[in-house]
Amino acid sequence: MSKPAATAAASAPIDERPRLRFVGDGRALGAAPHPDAPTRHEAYVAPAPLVDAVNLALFLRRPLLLEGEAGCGKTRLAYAVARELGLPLYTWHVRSTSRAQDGFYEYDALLRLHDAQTTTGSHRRSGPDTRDPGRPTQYRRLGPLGRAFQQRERPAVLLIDEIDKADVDFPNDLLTVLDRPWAFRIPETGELIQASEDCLPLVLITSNKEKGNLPAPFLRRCIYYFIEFPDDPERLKEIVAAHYAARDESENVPAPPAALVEAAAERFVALRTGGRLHKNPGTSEFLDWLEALRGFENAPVGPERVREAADEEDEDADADPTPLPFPNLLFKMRADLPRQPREGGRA
Amino acid sequence: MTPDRNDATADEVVRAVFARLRQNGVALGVGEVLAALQAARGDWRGAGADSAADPATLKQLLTLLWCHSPAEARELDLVWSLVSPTLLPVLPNRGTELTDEDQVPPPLPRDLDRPLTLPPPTITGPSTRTGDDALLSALPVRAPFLPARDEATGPAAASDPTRLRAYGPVSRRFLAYGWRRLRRLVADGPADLLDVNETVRQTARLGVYRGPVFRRRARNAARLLLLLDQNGSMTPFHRLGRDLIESAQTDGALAGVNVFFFHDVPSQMLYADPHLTRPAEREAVLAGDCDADTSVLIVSDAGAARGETVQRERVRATAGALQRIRRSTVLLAWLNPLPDARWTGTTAEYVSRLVPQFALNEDGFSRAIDVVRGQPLPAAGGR
Repeated sequence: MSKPAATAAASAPIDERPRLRFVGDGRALGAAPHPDAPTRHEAYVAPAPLVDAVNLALFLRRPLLLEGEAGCGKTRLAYAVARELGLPLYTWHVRSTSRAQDGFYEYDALLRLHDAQTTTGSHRRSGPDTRDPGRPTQYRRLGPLGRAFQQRERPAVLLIDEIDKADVDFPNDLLTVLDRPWAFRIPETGELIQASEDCLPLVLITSNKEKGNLPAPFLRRCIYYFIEFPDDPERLKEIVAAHYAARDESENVPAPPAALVEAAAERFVALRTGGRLHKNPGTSEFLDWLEALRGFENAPVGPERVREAADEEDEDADADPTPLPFPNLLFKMRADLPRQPREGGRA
Repeated sequence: MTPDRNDATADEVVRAVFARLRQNGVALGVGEVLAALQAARGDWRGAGADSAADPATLKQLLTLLWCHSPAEARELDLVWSLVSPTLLPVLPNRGTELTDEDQVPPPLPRDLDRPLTLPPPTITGPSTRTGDDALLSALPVRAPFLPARDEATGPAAASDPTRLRAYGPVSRRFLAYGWRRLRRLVADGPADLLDVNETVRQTARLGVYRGPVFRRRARNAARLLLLLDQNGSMTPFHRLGRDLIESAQTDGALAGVNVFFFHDVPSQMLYADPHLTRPAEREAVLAGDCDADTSVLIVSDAGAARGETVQRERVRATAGALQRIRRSTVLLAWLNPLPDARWTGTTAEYVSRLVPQFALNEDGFSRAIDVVRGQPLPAAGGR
């Protein structure tokens, strides 16, 4: 038998705990998800290579760096993984002012000083939830990374969103923490927050390369996956089906008619692959557009209208009599907007 | 026995690919090899198949783990095609078939601890390989791999101008780090930093508590005057100049960045715009935007790009300009976008005797930053 021998050959402890495996079909596994796990059903259609990338990250417990166009589902993947595996999800939305420590913990020294002043003498209060200035741990709040490190029963999913928005030094400050021994110290309380070896978090990082490449030592430690946009009407239809299946569960929204989805998907892919756009719309824009086509102001747009507009635009010379419906949802740059149909006065 | 053989072969492939990628400049370390080996031996996909047995799975693993851009993934594709014909035929196609002992060829004697000796063809490249003509003929059409660049890939990437940024000999990130080092801390902010040690010391000295001692907050007072040569032989480097300016202004945390442009020599007239249409007198610029604490960086090829012979007039004008700037500040350095090997015999060679001149690469840029932050402080009289 090849398999048992192969696993025995790998001596690392990583193999001995129960394996988590991401399937990516949108179904939630496990009867008892963690209280911090996302509860909303996540319609996410993950291509097979992406599923493999997630599984490799789970296996090696190395951070998974996701890049790709805006709106191709980098952030949603973390929700999908946490939802499917029933793992707690902690998100850290990085901003331009973020420092590494923000993700570790916050310490409220002012509140402690305040309590120290007010709880002496006659102001002393009592009760189970009374803060005691003698205990500094009551004044520190763990950040997303700190909470992910504190999991002891199952690993957490830690999403570091848009890491490139922060200062150039930011990824370097994370380097030492997102690696062995997976620990950081809180000087104010003297605590050492360390992730358990059995429950190392799954770290998902998204980036848009806004400030150029991430530093090489950081990249070296990451598993890298570039999420391609699904330039295929079939995949788009699959995504639409998953999306409306999820919404049907929660909001009872009927799915748009199949003919409309087909026409819209084909038109959308043609727009993207046409190479005429300066900024390509993403999946989320497509779903919004479809939703508008389906029932904006109770005036659904028929599939033939979407098709007609498609045909007309190929003949550039003509003034387009039926412009693409809801262009404002798809085109986000002025140069991309289709030329306005010429009307009466204007020539 | 069977899996051992597979693992050993997978090890060889992993190490051979690693060696090739390292040679080609992909930044990988020992930790990455160990991680790849660990994953290759385990069932990382959780699919029940032994990933070491399936070449496609192994390749996918290495791509995910080792490649951090589409360009690097293409490089791995190529390396894989070189390595796999020599090593991979040993690998069976499916690990599941191996459970039947009869089909298994006798295991190779192998000691995993001994240093790996790779078959030389995998390392030395296609010229020494024999056989496989189809692969050889496919080789020369490949584009060279340039890890320093982040080249745009595909139609999607081409539409995204941010992907073109990290181009040239110095990446924007590196420039940002450099500017970050250019600091001159002056404690003239609001006095709101509690100095605990000083408070305790003062209380102990006076024997009575007089209240907390505050320090002033420090800020970076470093100012930068950038003078960029434009047009002519500097045209190919305009992009680099823009990167320099943008990174200094946005990522640098400097107190002030002033940028002026000139053509060939920073003579009497400088210009406030890159098209050299809004003139500004050099005297006025130096009087207004330059004091003794201002760092001045001049970016120019000093005639080295064309390889032109020394022009006396140009040398004299440059020397005069440098002398004038030195009267305002000694924190002065010259960045030349051409490597120093190209300076010989041109005005740049003379310039390098008048002023610290560095090639505009990562090393040169850091050294120039050292000079303009005054470490070590250059002598006022030139060198």
